[in-house]
Amino acid sequence: MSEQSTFDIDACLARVRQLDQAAARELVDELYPLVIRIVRAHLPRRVAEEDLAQEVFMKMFARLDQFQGTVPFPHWVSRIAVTTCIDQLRAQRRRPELRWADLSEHEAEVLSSVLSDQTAHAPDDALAARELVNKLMSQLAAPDRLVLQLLDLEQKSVAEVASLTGWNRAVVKVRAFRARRKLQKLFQTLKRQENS
Amino acid sequence: MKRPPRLSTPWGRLTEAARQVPTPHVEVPFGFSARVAALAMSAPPRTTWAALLDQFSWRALGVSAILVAVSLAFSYSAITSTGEDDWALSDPLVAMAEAS
Repeated sequence: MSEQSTFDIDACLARVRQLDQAAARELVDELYPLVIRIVRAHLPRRVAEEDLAQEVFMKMFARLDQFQGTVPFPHWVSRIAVTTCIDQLRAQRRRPELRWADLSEHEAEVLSSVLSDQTAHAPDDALAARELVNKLMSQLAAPDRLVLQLLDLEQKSVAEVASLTGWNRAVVKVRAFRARRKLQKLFQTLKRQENS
Repeated sequence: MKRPPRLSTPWGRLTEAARQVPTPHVEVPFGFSARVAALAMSAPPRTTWAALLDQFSWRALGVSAILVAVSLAFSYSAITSTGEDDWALSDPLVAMAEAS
């Protein structure tokens, strides 16, 4: 973070507006970790993360004149990244129904564990849990997936999600509620399949 | 001990576990920033509706100013004349009175 504090984003933006290519490179280098973190979190299937990151940066440069400076520049770029991911997710079809047989051994163990109310997980379960989360979320519509990713995995507040997505707070809450309810039904279905 | 609300559901417990995955180190791929910067700087400037309006409204203003000047020049004599003679000639009552 010390590098971030020394980076003068306003001076860099001024140079970028003068079509300084070196400044544009510096800006991309500075913002890449932020953009790729968002892209990886929302990455639609079959879309290379680098391609999506490039699309985000191209939009950022194309819309640079629209940046008014009312919010910090990284926040403005985050919003472009999130909306780009939403567009990509919307273009995708939902995966076919998830069944217990589709889960790997580790994922099935993690699922049994969370369904049987065991809160303790070994550290190596985290990866399986992450994979399982991705599989479950792939069953949801793009906006539902996004809202749960931001709220439950990245632990952002409703206000932050509203700011990033452009939806109002009520919409964010309703979407989260509906998405969790869908997941609850999915958990019940998987539990029945496990027992059968 | 009372459990936090987020751990009371399978989804809450699952996301709690999933969050334990460490964030991987991020490094900009070689040549990525150079490629993106070159593409962005070579791309033609994006034309927005505001920019279009700005551009064309100035042109429209110029054209309309020229038209006003031309029409004023052509109708200068009509504007500066008193119009009494024209009125008398074109008035049908005056014409009928003169005829009788």
